[in-house]
Amino acid sequence: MSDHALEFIDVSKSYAKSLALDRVSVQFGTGAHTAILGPSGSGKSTLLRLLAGLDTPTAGSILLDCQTISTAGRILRPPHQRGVAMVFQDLALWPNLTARENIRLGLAGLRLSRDESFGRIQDALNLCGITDLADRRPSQLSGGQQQRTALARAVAVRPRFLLLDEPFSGIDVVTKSRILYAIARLAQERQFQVILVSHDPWEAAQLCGYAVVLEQGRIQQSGSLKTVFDEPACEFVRAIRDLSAANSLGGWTSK
Amino acid sequence: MISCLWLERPAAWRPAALMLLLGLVTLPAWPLAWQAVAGSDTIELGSAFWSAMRNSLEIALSVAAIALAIGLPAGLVAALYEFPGRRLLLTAVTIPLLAPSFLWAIGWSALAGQLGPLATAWTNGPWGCCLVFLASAVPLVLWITFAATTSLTGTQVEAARMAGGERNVVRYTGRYVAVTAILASVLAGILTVSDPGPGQILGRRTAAAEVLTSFSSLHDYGLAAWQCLALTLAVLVVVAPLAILATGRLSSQILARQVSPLRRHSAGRRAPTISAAFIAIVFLLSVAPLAGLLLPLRDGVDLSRAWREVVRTGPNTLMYAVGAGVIAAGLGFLAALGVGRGPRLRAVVLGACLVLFALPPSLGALGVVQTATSAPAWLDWLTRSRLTVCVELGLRFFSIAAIIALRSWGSLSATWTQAAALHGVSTTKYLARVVVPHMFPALAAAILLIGLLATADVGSVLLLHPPGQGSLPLAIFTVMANAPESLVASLCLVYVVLAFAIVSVVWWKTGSDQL
Repeated sequence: MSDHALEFIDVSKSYAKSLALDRVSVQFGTGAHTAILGPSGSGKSTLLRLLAGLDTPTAGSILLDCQTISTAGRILRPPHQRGVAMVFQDLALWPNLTARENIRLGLAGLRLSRDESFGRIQDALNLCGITDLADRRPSQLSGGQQQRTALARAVAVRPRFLLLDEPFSGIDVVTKSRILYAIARLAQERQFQVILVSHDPWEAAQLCGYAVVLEQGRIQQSGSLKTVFDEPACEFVRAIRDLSAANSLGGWTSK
Repeated sequence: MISCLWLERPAAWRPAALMLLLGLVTLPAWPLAWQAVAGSDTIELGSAFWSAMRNSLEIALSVAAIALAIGLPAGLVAALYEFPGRRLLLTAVTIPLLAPSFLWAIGWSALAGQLGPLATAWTNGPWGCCLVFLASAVPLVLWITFAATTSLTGTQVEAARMAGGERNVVRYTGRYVAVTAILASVLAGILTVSDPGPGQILGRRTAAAEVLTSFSSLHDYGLAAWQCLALTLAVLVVVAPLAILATGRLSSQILARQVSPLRRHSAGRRAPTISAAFIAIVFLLSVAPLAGLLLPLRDGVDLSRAWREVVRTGPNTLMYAVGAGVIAAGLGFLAALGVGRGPRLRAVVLGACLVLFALPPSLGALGVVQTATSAPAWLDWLTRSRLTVCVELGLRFFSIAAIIALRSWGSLSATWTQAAALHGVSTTKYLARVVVPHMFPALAAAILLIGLLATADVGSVLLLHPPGQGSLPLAIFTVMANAPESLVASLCLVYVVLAFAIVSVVWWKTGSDQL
C-alpha cells in the first residue's frame, strides 16, 4: 500500500457506449500541485468527478489515506467527507443566493455552530477579496468576481484538495492570472493541494509543478511539468511544444 | 442525510414513479375505461351522434388549418422582432385562451344578431364555431411557435442573418419551427372536439355538445358515457401517433435549456405593418366578439345584480381555480422531479401530457360521477364535494403544469446539484434553498394560468359541482338563456376584466421571455 493521500488503482469508467477512462492508475498528494492535461474528450473531467465522488468507477478502486473511498459501482465515502472542494467549469454558483449565502450553504455539510460558520464565511470572503460584494447575487457580479465567489465557497470548507475543472475558460488573461496567483497564495496559506484540469499548458505552468497527461482515457505521460514538456511522449504534448516553437518564431505563417 | 445527487442520476425508480403519477392523473377516467372493457351492455349511439362527430371533425380541421396560417407567422415574428405595442398586443391575443369559449360564442351570436339575418345564418353554420375556437387556437399555436423559436440560440439567428438578411432569418426559423407549429395546430384542432360550449350556443351539433346534452338534459348517464368513450377514441386515434412521432422534436424545442437567448431585433420599417396585423388578429379574435358580448350594456349595466352573482360564486370560483392550480403545479413538480435529465423520459412524459390534454374533459368528470354513485357515503368529501372539483380540474390541467415544470427544471444546471452534493447539502435543504426558489416564478405562473383555464372549463364544473356551489362562468352559462341580456353582458364584462387583470399581472411578473 502506498503512502500517497489519493490514489487511483486501475480505474475505468464507461458511459453508455464509450470508455471515458481505461485502467488509470495515478497518485496525488506528493507535494506539488498537479495539472491533468489532455485534449477535449480525453477523460480529464471524468477523472476529477470520480475523485470528488460525483460518479462511480466502472472498475478499479480509489483510495484516500489508504482507505478505499470508491470502488466499482459504489461510493464508499460521500463527496463531502473526502476533504475535497471543487470549482466547476461553469462555477455552479446557486443563482438565487448572494455570495455570502452561497458560502453559507456550502458549509452545510460540516454542521458548524452559528459563530464558527460566520467566522468561516468572513474569512473566505476576506481571503478572496470579495467582502464588499458579499450581498450580491451571481448575476450582479463580473466574471472574475464570480470566479472569486466560487473559490471562496470552495476554500471555506478548508479542503485538503481543491479541484479545479477548467474554471478559467471564459475569462480574460489578466483576470485569469490574478486568480491563479490568488489560488497559489491561498494554497500555501491554507495548506491544500490543487488538482487542475485543463487543456491549457499556460494555466498549468502558472500553478502546478506536476502533470498527468491523458489521451483517449489513458495516461500517456506523467511527471514534473518540466520533464513532461522537455521529453514529450504523446501527441498532445508534442503539439503544444510545436505550437510554442512556432509562436517563438512568429507564428506558423512565418515558418 | 440524503445526498442530493439522486436528483440528477438516472435510476430505475424514475419510470416506475412516473407510471404511478400518470396512473394517478388518469384515475378519474378509469371507471369509464373499465366499463368499455368489461361492460356487456353496449348502447346504440345513433346516427345523430355520428353526424355530430362529423361536424366536430370538420370544425377541428378548419380550425387547425387557419390557426396554423395565423399562429405560425405571428409566433415567429413575436419571438424574433420588436414592434410597437408588442407586449400589449400579445397580452390581448392571449386573453381568449384563458376565458371560456362560450363567452366568445355568446359575443359572436349577439354581434351577428345586430348585423342581420345573413350574419346570423353565417355564424350558426360551421364558420361561427370556427371563429369562436380560433380565439383560443391561434394563441395556442402562436405561443408554442414562440417557445420553439426561442429555443434557437442568439448566435444561430445571427448566423442566419449574416448569411442572407431578415428574409433568411424568417426562412430558417420558419423551417425550424414548422413541424412544431403544425403539431400545435393539430392539438388546437383536437381540443375543439372536446369543447361543448360554442356548438350548443351557435346551434351546431357537435360531439361534445351531444355528450353534455345526454347527461344534463336527457339524464342518460349510460349514453353520455358511451358517447364520451367514442369521442375519446376518435381523439386518441389522431393524437397518439402524433405524440409518438413528434415528442422528440417537441421536447428538444420546447423544453430546451437556453444558454444563449436570442435578442429581438427591431422590425424596422415593417414594424407598423406587423403591429397592424396583430391589431387585426386581436380585433377579429377578441374585440369583435367582446363588442357583441357587451352590446346589451347599451340598455343599462346591471352591475348590482352582477356583483351579487360575483359575490355568491366568487369564493367557489377562487377555490376551484386555486385548488386546481396548486394540485396541478404540485403534480407537475413531481413529474419534473421524476423525469430528471433523461431525454427519453422527458419525451415520453411530454407525449403523455399531449395525449392527456387532448382527451375530453368529460371523460374524467363522468368517471368521477360514476365512482360517486357507487362509493360509500363517508367518501362524499372526496367524490361529491368542492374538493372533487378542485382535484378533477387539477388532474385535467396536469399536462400544462408538467410542461411548465419540465421547462423550468431544465433550466437548473446539473452542476448546481453536484456542487450541493460536494458540500454535503441535504436534499431537503437543497430543494428548499435552491430548487424551489428557482422554480417558484414558473410554478406560480403555472398556478395562475391553470387557475384561469380551470375557471374557463365549464363542462367539468357543470358535471361535478355540489348543489349551490357553482362557479362564475357556470352561473353565466346557466343564466344566459333566461336572464336579461344586460345581466349576462355585465357578468361577462366582470369575467373578462378579471381575466385581463390576472394575465397582465402574470405578464408583468414573469416577462414574455419566460412564457
